[in-house]
Amino acid sequence: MSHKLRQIISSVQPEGINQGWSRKSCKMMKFMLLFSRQGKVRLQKWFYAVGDKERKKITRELVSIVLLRKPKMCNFLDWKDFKIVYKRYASLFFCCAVEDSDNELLTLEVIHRYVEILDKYFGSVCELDIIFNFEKAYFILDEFLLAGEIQEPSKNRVLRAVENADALQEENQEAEATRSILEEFGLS
Amino acid sequence: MMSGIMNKTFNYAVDMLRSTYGAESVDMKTLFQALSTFEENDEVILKFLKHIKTLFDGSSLHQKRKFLTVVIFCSQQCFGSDIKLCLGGFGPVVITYIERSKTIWDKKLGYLTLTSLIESNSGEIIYLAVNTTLKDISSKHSVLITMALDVACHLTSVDLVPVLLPVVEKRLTHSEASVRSKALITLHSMYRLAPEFLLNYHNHIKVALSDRNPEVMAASLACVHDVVKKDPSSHSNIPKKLIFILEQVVQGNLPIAFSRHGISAPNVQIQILKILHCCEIDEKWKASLPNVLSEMMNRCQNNKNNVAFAVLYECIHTVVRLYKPSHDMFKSALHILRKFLSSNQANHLAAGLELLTLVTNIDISCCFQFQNIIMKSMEHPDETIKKQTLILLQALITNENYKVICSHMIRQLDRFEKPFFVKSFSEKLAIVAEKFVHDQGWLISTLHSIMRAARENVSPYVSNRILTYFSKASSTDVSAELKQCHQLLIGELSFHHYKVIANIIGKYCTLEENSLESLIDVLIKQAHLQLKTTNLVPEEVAFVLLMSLKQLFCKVKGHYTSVTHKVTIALLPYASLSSIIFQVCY
Repeated sequence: MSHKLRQIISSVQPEGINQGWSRKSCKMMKFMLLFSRQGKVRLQKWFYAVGDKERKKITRELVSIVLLRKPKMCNFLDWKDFKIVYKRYASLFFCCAVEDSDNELLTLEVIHRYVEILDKYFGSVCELDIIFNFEKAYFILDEFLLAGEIQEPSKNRVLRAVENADALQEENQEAEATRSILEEFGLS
Repeated sequence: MMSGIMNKTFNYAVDMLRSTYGAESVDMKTLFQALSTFEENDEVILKFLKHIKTLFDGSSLHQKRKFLTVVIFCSQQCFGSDIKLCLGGFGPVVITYIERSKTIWDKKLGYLTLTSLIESNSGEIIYLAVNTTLKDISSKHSVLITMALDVACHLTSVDLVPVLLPVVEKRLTHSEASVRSKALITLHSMYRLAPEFLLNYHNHIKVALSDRNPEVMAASLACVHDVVKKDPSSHSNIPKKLIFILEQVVQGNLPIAFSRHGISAPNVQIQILKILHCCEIDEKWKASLPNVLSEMMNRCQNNKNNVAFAVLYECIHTVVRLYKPSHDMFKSALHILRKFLSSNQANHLAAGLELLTLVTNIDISCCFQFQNIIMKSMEHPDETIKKQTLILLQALITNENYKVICSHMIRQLDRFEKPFFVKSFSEKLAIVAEKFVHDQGWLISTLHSIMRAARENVSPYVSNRILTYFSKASSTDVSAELKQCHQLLIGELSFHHYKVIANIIGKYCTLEENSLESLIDVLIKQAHLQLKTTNLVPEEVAFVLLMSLKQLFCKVKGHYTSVTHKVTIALLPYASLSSIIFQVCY
């Protein structure tokens, strides 16, 4: 192939391809949305600063785009500056936005892992569990994704961290109080 | 003013909050149903939140928990600015609740409420939260420390970095791995905000990368990625270390808890490969990579799970980046690429097409073995795959096949509907077509075809380029192009395209009076067709037509009474154009 031709071909910058050799500094995930088939948002977590109006606009647009997708279609789509990776589990759509240079298959795996953890925690999780215990869904998400990066590769540790918080720690607090009194009297 | 029904629902919701009997989930279900009734009525929600605030201090622990859940719910809903302000007022209340909490659950709930308020309404709350957060980060209880570190990640202000930094750095040496990894992530988020404050950052990362616990090592990879991206040349020893870690991970030396569907720590493997993309290429570490990559590919290629494909995707990326097409690794990568392209899952096909485009940019001949798959993908019902195929076709264009490929791409573009994609792709297509500017006749007709295919969503770049080429064209080329414009005006056109053609005729038309009359006829007929389109403003269409005719009449003198008559008849049905008709007659 001639040098000029190679220049022509290499000068074409395909959209959506990793501009791999000059990727921007970025978080893995920009935001995560959970919404029902009726378009009701059940959970949203934003990993970058964005105003309320913009959030509402983004949410509305994305919900309408994803709900129009047919069942056997690809789980990835390009939207503005992001790649959207979504997956439907029963009546809920889990939707993540990642950078152009990110691995979409890995993001799909991240979503699946989150669902597995929710399932193990709630026991056969359904949409109602997330609606009425959304704070627990947020706790689990916080243990799993922090500042837009995956922080916990081990599923069991995530569950243990959340279950620790569930247990009322009054006994621990009492034990500590007792220990501190004993220390004061030099009897520890 | 609240309606009667709203009033009743509001009072019911307030009673629900006050009630201390019944199962908690039943109460909350009714409460959220009540809240969702209010969704369209900001005034009611504002009143509700103010009411909660007044009730908060005097209520029981059980009720306080409910109130906080309501506050989290409201702060996630993106209400108006009044409600945001009201929610901001909950900051001191929540912080007091956190400080007075006796149980881990209450503290966690308090912190979750705080992070929700910070996300929706950052303002002053982050400054109020600092002291409580610092106190809990310095606590002896590891669960408290991890909770507080979670919150510290949300305290996104440059002023707070010097305050939090010493405490967080101290936690990097905690005995618990979960504390160390969260402290590292908090440090990373501070580095992204204000790198100038973190003087010892690189040392901390080096220590974390060598940590005995894989959790901490995994957390350090995101930090290493940012640091290497910023300055690849001063971290030349990192690739060697990363390849060593990668070897250990691939061989399965991590605890079983880090395995996912038979693949050991896939996230770590992928992260390491991404970091290697950013590193400066050195023959020494490049030579040690093929064994590891081969091992990775061997372990993943018989695994049908999605996570295996994710790792293979990154492997192929790395191979294509680092090795020449003649290398054995490149050939192995192509073999695995076939697995992606022949998968019956749309996701794998889309990823495979993306990789194939990458490969084609390096060596176009690699694409020939996948011709059948490319042909099939062009007719695939999924828009994502069609789009990916179009991008691949762009990469395949050569001096020999540009006409065929461009015409095919324009046919495909016609079937897309998404405005954002159509606009950007029409522009890219025009840029690619311009590479073959030596064939100007073909170029202008291609640009016209792009405008037809893209319809209203065409990029302005395309219309600008058509006009530019017309301005540079010779007189023989112009007359040939005007014949084409004549043909186009007979058919269906978008308004945007009509504007461009009218502009061309007005500025560049040099035909004799006899031939000009038929051109003007079709111009007016097309204007009439455009006016019939309900979403167009009649004045705009009339303006375009008249500007074109005016420019034409300035250049070519003659009697155009019949033209005036025809224009008047075309515009007559539109009452708003009566003033314009008078101008025409004049």
